[in-house]
Amino acid sequence: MSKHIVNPLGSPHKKISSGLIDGPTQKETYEYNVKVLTKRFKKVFDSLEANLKPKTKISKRGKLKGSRLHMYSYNNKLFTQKEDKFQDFNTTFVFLLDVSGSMSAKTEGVNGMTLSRLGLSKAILKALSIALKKSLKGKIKIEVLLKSCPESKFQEHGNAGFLSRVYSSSVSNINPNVIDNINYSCPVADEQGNQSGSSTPELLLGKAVSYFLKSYVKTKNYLVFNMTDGDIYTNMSSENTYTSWSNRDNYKCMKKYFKGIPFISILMGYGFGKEDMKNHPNPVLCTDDKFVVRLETTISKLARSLSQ
Amino acid sequence: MAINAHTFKLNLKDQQESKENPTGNPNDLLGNLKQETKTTTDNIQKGGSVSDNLEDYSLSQNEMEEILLQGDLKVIQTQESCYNNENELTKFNVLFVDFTKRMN
Repeated sequence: MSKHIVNPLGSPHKKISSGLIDGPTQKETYEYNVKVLTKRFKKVFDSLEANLKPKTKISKRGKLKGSRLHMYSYNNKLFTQKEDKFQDFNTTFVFLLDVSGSMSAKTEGVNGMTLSRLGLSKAILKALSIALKKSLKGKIKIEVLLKSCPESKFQEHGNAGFLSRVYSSSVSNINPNVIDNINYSCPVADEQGNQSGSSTPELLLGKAVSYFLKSYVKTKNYLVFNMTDGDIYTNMSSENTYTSWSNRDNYKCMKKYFKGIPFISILMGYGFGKEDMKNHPNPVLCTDDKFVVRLETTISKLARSLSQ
Repeated sequence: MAINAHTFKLNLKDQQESKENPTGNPNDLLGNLKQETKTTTDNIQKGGSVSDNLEDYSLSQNEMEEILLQGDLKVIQTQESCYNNENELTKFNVLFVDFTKRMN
């Protein structure tokens, strides 16, 4: 049966072979979470913006600085100019989101409301996108990429992995609402339009992430957030062999592709022991009931460090 | 004018800055930067706008070939050695697909 590529956001009503899709009650909870989180994030960024002081630089033009007047005979830099106080925020937050089936496990969102891990991840990403569009003059950009791997072979590529760019605040007129349509699936469908579910390729997609960072991210700084709830669980190979990938390989790929790149692992769920944590760079262990608070705090700290 | 150590340092700094901005006009540097940013933004914005209707995004074989030509899809060949078998390299492909360009 031939398979083709579909937009992972474009077919929310089509069948997904894994059978995982958030229902209407989840939708209401999700929307409530988005609303509350947007307010929370906006508050964080607005207070950050309010505390920013414009920097001044010595220049040949601008406002005359009295204390430098004595230098007039040998130096023409006697003036001060105000610099854009937002220039240090020229940053992109790159989110790598796991869309494997295990992300359907329930977790706790704002006010103890229950929704899926993917649902909460989407709510956070959407809330961040809305808040950052309104705050800090939109200087912090957001990119959302989905990590997935189909359950069976795809064309001549065999057991290939997919890195799908589905939302970018750098691309004009893309509404953050598109994040609503992210689901537990791979961008691969059969002739009937049934989309494939996804296993967990994690940082085996590292080379593609490097390609994306080099080719698409245009800001001075960037931070990569890897959002996942589990270990590598995939059989990626272009040959008819079975390869038993493990979290040690995740660690190897991190060393290989993300050396020197600011990288935060947002770990969801309770499945991470101390040993597992070693395989994820800069882990923020978000046990389900503290997930929102931990992520909010992490992003707030990062944003503040950028302004210093 | 006597040149003292302080002035000499300042002159050196001026020379260094003039290499970065040959005209010496800070506005030129800013102008170039703005132009560069605009060009980058224009390139990014070629993706167009998103419509309310998110249906019908399935890609046929022809459309997929079109995407390949447009550069929206990049096949990245990878090889990694598995931790459990360091001596053997496993080859696999990773497909990077930019769906933001199709949302118009």
